[in-house]
Amino acid sequence: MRYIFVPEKDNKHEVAISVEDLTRVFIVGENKIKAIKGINLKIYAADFVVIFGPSGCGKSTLLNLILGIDTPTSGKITIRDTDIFKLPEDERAYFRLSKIGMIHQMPYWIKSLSVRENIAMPVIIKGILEKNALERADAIMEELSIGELALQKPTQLSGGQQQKVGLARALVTNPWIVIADEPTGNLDSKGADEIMNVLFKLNRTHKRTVILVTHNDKYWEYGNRRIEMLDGKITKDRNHG
Amino acid sequence: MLKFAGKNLLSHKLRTVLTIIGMVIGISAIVFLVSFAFGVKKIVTKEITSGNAFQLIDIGTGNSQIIKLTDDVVNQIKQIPNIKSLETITNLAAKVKNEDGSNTDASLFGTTSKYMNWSGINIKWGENIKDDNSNSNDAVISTALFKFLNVSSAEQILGKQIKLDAIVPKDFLENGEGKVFEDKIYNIIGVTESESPSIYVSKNSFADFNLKHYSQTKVEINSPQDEEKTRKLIENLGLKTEYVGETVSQINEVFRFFEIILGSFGLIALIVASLAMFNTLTISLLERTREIALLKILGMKKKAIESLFLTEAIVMGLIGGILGIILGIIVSDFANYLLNLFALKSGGQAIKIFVHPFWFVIVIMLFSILVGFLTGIYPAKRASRINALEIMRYE
Repeated sequence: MRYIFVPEKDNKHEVAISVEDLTRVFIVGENKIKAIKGINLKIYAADFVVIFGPSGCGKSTLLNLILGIDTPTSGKITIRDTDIFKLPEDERAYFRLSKIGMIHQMPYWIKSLSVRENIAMPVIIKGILEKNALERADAIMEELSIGELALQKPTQLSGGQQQKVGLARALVTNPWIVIADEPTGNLDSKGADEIMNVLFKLNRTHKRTVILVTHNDKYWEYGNRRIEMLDGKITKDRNHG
Repeated sequence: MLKFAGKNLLSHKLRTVLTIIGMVIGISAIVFLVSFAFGVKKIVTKEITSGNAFQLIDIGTGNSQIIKLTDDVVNQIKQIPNIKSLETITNLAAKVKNEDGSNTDASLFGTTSKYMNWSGINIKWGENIKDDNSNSNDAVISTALFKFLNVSSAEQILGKQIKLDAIVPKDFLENGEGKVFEDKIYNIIGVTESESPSIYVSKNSFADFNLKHYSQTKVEINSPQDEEKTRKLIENLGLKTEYVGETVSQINEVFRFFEIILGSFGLIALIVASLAMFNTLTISLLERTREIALLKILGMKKKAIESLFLTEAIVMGLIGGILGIILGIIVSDFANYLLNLFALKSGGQAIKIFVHPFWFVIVIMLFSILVGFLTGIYPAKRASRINALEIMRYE
């Protein structure tokens, strides 16, 4: 990935994401559901964080809050000196667009567009000329060896291919932070390993912060930090260096 | 953005096409009906005016026995400011004689080619009488005389001569008695199309009749805005005036109403079409909530999502508008063609009953963009307010 990613400087001790006293309460009818119950967390720039936890433990809510898609009931999240919830909605969207890449378990697509155009989408949304955006998309597809899929429709691809395209779209804006929410959940082990290897390389070679949510204990070995969540709280946070 | 919107529309071809067809029908109905109103108006106003109607005032004496359009009076009219030029006509009766001794009645006009132009009398074949001072014997006759003269086309009569008795009524003459000037001979140099038998000759050829006055005059004015003032000055001389511009304005008034009625029928069709478009956009919105959620999560701004939907709506509106105008013009021209075919068969003349002025085409185009915008604005707002998290959570 020489072309796309300029390696960041050695950033082991720089705080990438700082979460302070974070709570999130959902109100469903008359019930209050406390999804996040006071989380404090510092994620460093060089971290590859693997978050484990059963369904409903608040993992996804935490990710949505870090992404700035959801807003907290209380507490704050600072991403490299920017208090994201102090930004107006549109600016927060732009911040997310520029600084964070996101991969889901089931990738979403603009069905009427080709793979290449889907990958270029975040760059186009940023307001960069379509031609340049597509060039960037081409470069990243080459890096991930998926150039031959460029002109197909994403919905025609296999799960593994779709996930790679999703990864390409997450990386096309050259983000600081990559957040992956069970990216391998629907993949066979070969496809899953490919995705994991890219994430690993991103973290170790290109010094990107990676946050991975997974059920699969096997992927633990890729990360340097293991966080376990239960019932809206962090129960374990171990750093293996 | 435009490309993206286009691709979205193309990915649901059938739905897009059906929606656009709705727009096309609505717009073409408006074009068809309003062009019809325009065409009829044009025909009617053309019947009563000729080109510079707003610059012409008709002057007559009404039934007055005292005031006549003598040279004196004419000179006084000419002195009135704002009057650019003045032309007269004298209307006599004639008995046209054939070689076999038979005769027929006709109107004999002594006038100028300018007056004829002002009155909308056009020379269809040959040329018009000349306005120089020579006492010329040239004449323009109407097609109504063909039958009597035993000819069937203008070529057969141009260059021939016509013999007639000019009958001068008593009030034109000094001694108070009518007089007949027998066997006047004119050269036919032009033919005009008309149902009534008429002969137009130069007013100079009436010189030896020693007429006291003219029948009517027309004046051309410099500025139509001062029409009222000028008419008042003329009427102060005891004359009666008539201004075609006034009639035209009244007719325009009537036809504006006509246009509105016909336009409203078209508008109803268009309203139905825009409801369909609104429906399509809303369905497309519901179908694409996931895509919109994705765009929002990726970081697309609300305004951008809004304008995406608006662009789609406007593109549909514009395409519908352009095709609608084209269809409307084709259909109305075809209807015009059929009508003329029928008219020519039954001996009428070809007319243009559907008129689509350029400005009208532009207005309809802008209008269809507006319709697109208005139907798109609600779905667009709704799309931009979609809660991405909710959508994701239901996955």
